Parts: sequence; C-alpha cells; structure tokens
Amino acid sequence: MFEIYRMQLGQILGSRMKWLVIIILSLPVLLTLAVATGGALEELERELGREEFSKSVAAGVIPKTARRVTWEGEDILFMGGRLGLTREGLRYRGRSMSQDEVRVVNDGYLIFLDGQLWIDDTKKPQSENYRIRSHDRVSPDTPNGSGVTLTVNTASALYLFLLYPQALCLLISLFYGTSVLGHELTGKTLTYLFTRPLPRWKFILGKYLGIITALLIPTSLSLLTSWLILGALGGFSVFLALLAATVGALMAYNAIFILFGFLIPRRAMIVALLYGVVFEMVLSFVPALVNQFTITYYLRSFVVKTLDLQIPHEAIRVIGGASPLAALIAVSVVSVGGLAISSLLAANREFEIHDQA
Amino acid sequence: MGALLEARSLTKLYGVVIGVNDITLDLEPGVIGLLGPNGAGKSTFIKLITGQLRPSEGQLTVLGERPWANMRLFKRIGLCPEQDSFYDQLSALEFVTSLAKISGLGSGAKERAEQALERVGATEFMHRPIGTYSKGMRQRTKIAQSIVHDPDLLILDEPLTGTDPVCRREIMDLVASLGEEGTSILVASHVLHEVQSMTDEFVLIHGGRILASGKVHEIRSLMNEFPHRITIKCDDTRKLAQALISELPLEGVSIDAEQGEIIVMTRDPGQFYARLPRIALQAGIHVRELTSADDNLEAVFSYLISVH
Repeated sequence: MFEIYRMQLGQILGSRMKWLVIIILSLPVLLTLAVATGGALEELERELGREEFSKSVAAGVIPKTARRVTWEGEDILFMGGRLGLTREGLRYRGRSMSQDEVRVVNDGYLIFLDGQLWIDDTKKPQSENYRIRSHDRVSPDTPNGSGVTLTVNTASALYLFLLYPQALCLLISLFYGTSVLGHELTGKTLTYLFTRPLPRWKFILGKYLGIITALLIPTSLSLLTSWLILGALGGFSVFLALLAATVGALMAYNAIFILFGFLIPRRAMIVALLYGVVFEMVLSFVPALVNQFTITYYLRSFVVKTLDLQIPHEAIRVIGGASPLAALIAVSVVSVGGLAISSLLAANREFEIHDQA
Repeated sequence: MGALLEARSLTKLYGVVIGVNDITLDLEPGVIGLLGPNGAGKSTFIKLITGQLRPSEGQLTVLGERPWANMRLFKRIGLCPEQDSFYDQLSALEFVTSLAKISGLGSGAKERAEQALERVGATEFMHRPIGTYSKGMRQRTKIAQSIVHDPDLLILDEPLTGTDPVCRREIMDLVASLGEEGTSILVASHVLHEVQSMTDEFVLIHGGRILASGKVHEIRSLMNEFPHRITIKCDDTRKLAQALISELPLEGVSIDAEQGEIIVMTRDPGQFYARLPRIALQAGIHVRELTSADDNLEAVFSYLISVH
C-alpha cells in the first residue's frame, strides 16, 4: 500500500503535473493579494459588521422599522458574557441594572451586531439576551461607542474559508479524486497493479492518502501565504483552524469523489462538478435543513465555533451552527464511508482494459 | 509440480457476447503457445487466467488456485500485458522497482528490478523516463516487470509486436532460457511463426473455443498452404524490396511509400526471418519494425473450422 501511496505522490507532484498544481494554488494567493491591496476586505468587513450583513444575511430578522441606536459604553450591561439591555437604560441614561431587571424590562426587539445595537419598538422581543463572545475585547472608548471591538476579523476569516476549504479543496479534489480509477483505466496501467498481490482496498487507501498528502502540501503553503498577506489575521490559531478545515475538506471530498469514480467511472467528473456546485456551493447556504447535508456546512461550523466568529444569531443557521464534534463526526463518516463503499465496489468489479492498438 | 492449468467448461460472457465459450483444457508445466487471430478470445482467456475476470460458468484453476482476486496466485504469476501503456514519467528502474515492491519483494526490490532489467537488456536506458523509449525498449521494460518476482507462471501477451529483429531474437532467447530454468510460460500471439520459434507446444483458440492443442508440427504443413504476410518498416522501402525479391522466394511484394512500409507475402516465414537481417545489412538499410499480419492464421483457422 505504501508503494501505491508513493506512486500517487509522484504522479501529482512529479514532472509536468506539478506545474498544474502550482498554477492552481498560486491563483488564490493572487486573488488575496488583489483583495488585500484593494481594501475590499475592510470594506466587506464594515458592510458585514454593520448594514449590509444585517440586511442580507439576517434579512427579516432586523425589521424595516428598526432603527440604529447610538450608544454610550456604560449603558450596555455585560453579565456572564451576555449582553443585557433594558428599555429604560437605552432610552434615558446609563446605569447598571441587576440581572432581574434586564429579564423583566426587555420588551423591545433588539439585535446586537458587531458592536451596534438595533431596536424595533414595534416588535416584541424574541430573546431576552444577546450573546457577546467571551474573548471579544470590550472597551468603552471604541469609535462607534458600542464598547465592543472584535478580536477576529470575521469577514477575512470567512473569506479564507470560502477560498480554501470550500472552493479550492473542492475543485482540486474533484480533479484528482474522480480520476483515481479513471486515470489507471484510460492509461491502461491498472493491469500491472490488479494482477499483483495488492488487495483493492489497499489500492484505494494508498491512492487516497497519496492524493491528500500531495495536495495538502501546496494547499497549506498557499493558505499560509494568503493568511500572511491579510496581516496574519487573528493570530496563528486562525491559520490552524483554517488548516484543520482544509485537511477535513480534502479528506471528505476525496473520499466522496473516489466513490463517484467507482460508481460512475465515465461520468464521474461531470457528476462531481454538479454535486460540488449544487450542494457544496449553493445548497450549503440554504438554511432549511438541506445545508446540514453538505460537508462544507460542518467545516464552516468548525471554523466559526473554534474561532468564535462574530456571526449574528440569526445567520448561524446559514453559516453553520454545528459543534466541532459534529464536524469531526461528519468528516469521519463521509471519509470512512466513501472509502469503504469504494473498496466493496472495487473488490467485486471486473475492470477490463481493452487494447485498441 | 501439479497441473499448470485446468479449465472445465470455462465460459465468459459479456452480456450476451461470448468471450470464451465452454473451454475444457489441461496444461502441464512448460512453454506453451496460445495462438489465435485477433478477437479469438485470447485476451479474455488470459484475463481469466490472471484473475482480472471472473468466469461466468465453469471452473478454472491455475497452479491449483482459482485466479479471481487470489493474492496467493498473484504472487506466483507474472503478466506482460498486450497494451503498450506505462507511467511515462517514471524510469524503467522506478517502474519495475515499484511493481516489485507491490509484488512483495520489500527492500530487495530495487536490486531485483536491476537484475530483471539487465536480463531483458534494458540496463543502458533504465534511468531515463519511459516516455522517451522506443517500442523495443518499452517491450523490454514490460517483460522485466513480469519476471522481476520470479513467477512460476509467466504470461506474455503478444511479446514480439512491433520489435526490431535484434529485440525479437533476444526476447526469444530469454523465453528459451526462462523455460529451461523451469518457469512455465504462456506466450499468446496471432502469428504462428513467433510462437513456433519459442515452443512446439501450442493451443489454438478461435471464436472463443479451443480448436486444437498439441505439437506444432501437426499443423505446420497446413500453415504452408497459406502465404504469410509480413509488414516491414524501414528507411528505404524501394531498395529493400528489390534486395528481398532478388534473394528470397516470395509470393508477392508491395510498397507503401507514404507509410514507409513493405508488405511481403511468403510461404516460408522461417527462412524469411532468418535471412532478413543479413539482406538488410548488405543493402545498408535500417529496419525499424516487423509486424506479422494474422490473415494466414485466419485462413488456417477457417480451414480448421470447416474440417471440424
């Protein structure tokens, strides 16, 4: 099995093919460079944190009748990581309230988003408390007076997630994973392997690990470069979380695409492309249970939860609200399941290579 | 050692198409030619023997084992497949070493690969990528990977296709010496002459059935009834054709100048192959490739079927 692993590594990183990998992986770096120099992410961050994000992602949550309230730091009450807000305090003057008062008085419709407070007098409250992340830096003299600045640049972290685990890992896995079998069949080289004492599950596992290793090296370098271009945002833990999501994406996607290759050898790539676009790109953002059947939802959840990104409560269902444990289970089930079914299919299938010479 | 191969009513269907049909055959260890025109079922039969296909009906044992997905058997057989396919970016040494490791040779794999490559005369070019090889070099590499693990049964599928005269000779000598060392060898070919030069034991296959098996002299005279067609690729077709006509008794010669080919019809291919190198050398012509067409074999088979 190790020999198959080694051969697969060589196939991807050896000779001509490595240039393809290098080109593919330098594109996102260029994109990040363009985005960073153009200031697009700061813009996005501003939009995300304030108006655009609230309107688009949390549409319907912040009603049209809502108005933004300018705030003076001490009027917000932090208790056990939660923001409590009273109508009295908001309207009139800053004073600390007891926990009981907060619970009773809060009858407005309130949203706390990126240090800004929205209130809708016409609505009843859906929730008494709005959560502030425990490691958010709280300061009374922030420019907007909200008393809250974010330690993690949410927009940039999400941008890197979309670029690497969600898009790039999907695409390169699609290219290599679906062709594990096809490459050996069209190259007519499978005969050399399948007439040797090599159980087929070892062939699959060797190829799988070979692809992941070969793709992980340049992908993580590319991710590291992009992260550095964005000013090493949020510290090394942000890079590590994104790297973990990248590994998870490569594991799960390659297992799925290898399975596609065995299920439908001739059409694997096109079906995989459809799956990728429809499920992992589009449906993963549809907050109606369906996105919980996509891999990227769990990986996104993992990044959001481990980095404690500032996502409005209402948008969590779109972005991803699963626990890191659920993400781990999802990736494991998909990877092991995909490989196991592929192995079963391979063990019982005749692979015939015709010589058309 | 027991029987090399035992087939009982062995049948392989592809949907409704029959690949091999009701083959019952016993083979003892030795060097055996598997002879049949293209599409006769040779490839299907070989794929059944090497465990790439499962029989639809009937039984097959090779070296006492059922071949399908049988790792025990795979350690003991070597296959030189028909298709001219490789991992072109690898060198012959890397290619054969990798396959030797998969065959379970472990840390000795590289050394064994070097020995196998030396044996097929590939030492000189074994460090270059396979993608840069001539047809003959590729053929040698393909044979090296099939003998690297010292198989008890070696299966060579059309080993002489597209090789030059020197390479042909060397492959034939290799088969002879492996045979003498006790390796059983099954040589599949659509050209009687090729098989005949390596063994006098043969199995004739046609239409998915075994037509005959036994000693080659039994059909030799029959073969001579039908002229043998050989295609020669060389640099000066006109000059070589002239030399051939003046030196050899030929039934017909035609020249395809565009392809750089001469097509020769002869009733005595043995004499033709024996004398061609000298004739070409004297005329100062470089012969690149020799291919035997199977139409005379086809004619023999048609005849055999009609008398069956």
